[in-house]
Amino acid sequence: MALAMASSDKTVLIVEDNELNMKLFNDLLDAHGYKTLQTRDGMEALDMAREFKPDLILMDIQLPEVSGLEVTKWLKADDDLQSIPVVAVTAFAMKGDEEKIREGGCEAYISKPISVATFLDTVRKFIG
Amino acid sequence: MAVFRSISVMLGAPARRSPDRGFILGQLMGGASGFAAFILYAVFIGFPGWPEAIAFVWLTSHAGFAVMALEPERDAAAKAGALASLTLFIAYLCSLTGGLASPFLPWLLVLPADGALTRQPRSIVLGVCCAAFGIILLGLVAPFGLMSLPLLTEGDGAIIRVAVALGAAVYAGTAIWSVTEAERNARARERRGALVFQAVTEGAGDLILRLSIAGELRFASAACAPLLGLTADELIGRSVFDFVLPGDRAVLADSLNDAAAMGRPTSAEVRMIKAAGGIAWVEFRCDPVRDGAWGKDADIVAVGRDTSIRRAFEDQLARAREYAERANVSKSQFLANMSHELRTPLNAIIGFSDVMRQEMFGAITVPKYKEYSGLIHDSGRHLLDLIGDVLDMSKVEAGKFDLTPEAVDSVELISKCIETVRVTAERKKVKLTANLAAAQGLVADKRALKQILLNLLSNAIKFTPAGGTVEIATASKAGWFWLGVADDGVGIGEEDLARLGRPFEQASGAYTREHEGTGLGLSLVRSFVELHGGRLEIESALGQGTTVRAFLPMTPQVRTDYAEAAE
Repeated sequence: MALAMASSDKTVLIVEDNELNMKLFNDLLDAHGYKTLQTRDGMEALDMAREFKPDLILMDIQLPEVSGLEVTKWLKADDDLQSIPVVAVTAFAMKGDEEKIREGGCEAYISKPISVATFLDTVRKFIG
Repeated sequence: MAVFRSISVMLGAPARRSPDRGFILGQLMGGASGFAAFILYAVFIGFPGWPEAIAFVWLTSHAGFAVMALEPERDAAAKAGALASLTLFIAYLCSLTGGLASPFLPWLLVLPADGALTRQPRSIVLGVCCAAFGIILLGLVAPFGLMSLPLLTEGDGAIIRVAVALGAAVYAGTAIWSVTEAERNARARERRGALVFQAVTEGAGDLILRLSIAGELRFASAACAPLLGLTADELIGRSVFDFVLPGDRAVLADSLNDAAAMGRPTSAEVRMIKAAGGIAWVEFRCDPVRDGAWGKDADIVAVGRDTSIRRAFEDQLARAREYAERANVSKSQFLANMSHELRTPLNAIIGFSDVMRQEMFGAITVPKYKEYSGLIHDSGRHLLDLIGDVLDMSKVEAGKFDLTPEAVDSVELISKCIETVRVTAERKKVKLTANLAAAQGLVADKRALKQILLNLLSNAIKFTPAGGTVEIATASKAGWFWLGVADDGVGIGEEDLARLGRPFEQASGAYTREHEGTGLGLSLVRSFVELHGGRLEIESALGQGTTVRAFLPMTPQVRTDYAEAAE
């Protein structure tokens, strides 16, 4: 499959504390023409969301210090930021995890390990 | 006379008052002796003059007090009257026989002594007063001259004196003897009562206490020794709160106050401090008593039972439960962590290999590399499935796997599963055939059912050599859904057949080397089938192929044992 993507001006903020997974998501998005912002820290994610107003946020749930669910709660409580869709990408894939995460305010849920196709479909669903 | 009254007083007031027989007998004898003296006087001395006649009639009239005392209500009046009358009578006799020098004077002294023997302060005071009054009366009368009676001539005077003094001595002796006898009887009765009481309180094994509302101990049964290591003497007079753990004192104090205030039994369980250190749990039942034995305020009789063993058992139980709960929580936590930690690196393995096999960033020029990236991806997926199996099995074993039953289209689900394994079957050159009948109204856990199918199919394909056939068939009948997977592969030996379906065991020997797998698959299948309330049958012989049949109820039958295990 060749890279046949037209360059997009959409920006995705990736919040992920595992370097390899960050690289995977970054490369996948980059290959499909999305601009990316990266952070491995929940607090910083909130600041970056305020500063850069990304079009989509990919949120790992288990993060150092504050959890992705907490960051999502803060995002959804902020009038300026609550419209940004948050997609949880998490290795919490036990029974009940998806429900819990959706109840926490995330618009979508992708379990790790991802399927590349599903991952890209989900991103496209939100920002084309 | 009054002497006999003392007996009944000592025994404690009987519930039903009866006539004081001692007093009545005394008065009758007094009356009789007056009459007898009159007869004797008349026979030996001659017809009496007025002074003597008055004395005889007076004494005889004491029989009237006996009649009066027959009515228990007039008992006190009769006794007071008899005492006053006797005092005046003796004073009269003395005044006739020499005043203060009269031989009858000692009889006046008998009066307070008689009162003293009753041990009633009132009787003593009355006796003393009467004696004093009699003596004063004689002293007052003396200056006006005394009557001299012919019977007290010089010669006879000595005999009379001796007789009267002897009479007084005999009377006093008899009185003392009867009191002593009565006291001895009372003591014996008391001791018997005490022995019975002791036997009851000791035999009960419970700690029996009598205490004031403020907690002052008045009585403690012998059970205090084994329970607290203290004798009753060490307890009595002290406050019960000295022996109760400070934190529990309020509980006991409330119980004592409530029992007295509400007039009904209360209970309290408190920790008591043992003399040798340590504590004993004691459950008290507190009963209010108002017998006036220690004043008119209510006392409390507290019966305490040692509940230390029960408490220890309860504590042990609570600790064991807490431990089990903690262990359960940490096991669940461990499973969740394990799942998370394994999935994180798998994400990179599966994700990057997926990108590579899709040649997302450009073509792979070496065909082998493209093949390897596909193999890495497939192996990653396989590893993910295994992790899923291990976690599922752990949950089933822990009784924590909860079914989510929903309506299932069996044909659609089975077709999908066949598609999933078709690639593998084709690669192994194993033919897949299906003979599916729609099962209307099947309700099952979709994920579990899919696991059952995938495991049975991949097992069958795995153990079937190239050119073989794997057949899947379903049917439904009489509330049961039936699903069978048959292959014409290597089959299973009799010995191994028995071991199948036990987690973490693949049938031994040749298989282990020839075929990969943890043996978990079939265990999971069996567990899932049984969780639905169904049954798994395996039919096989070496070289003859294997047929596995799963029978599921159309609607899962709740397995209470699993539900309980999950509690």
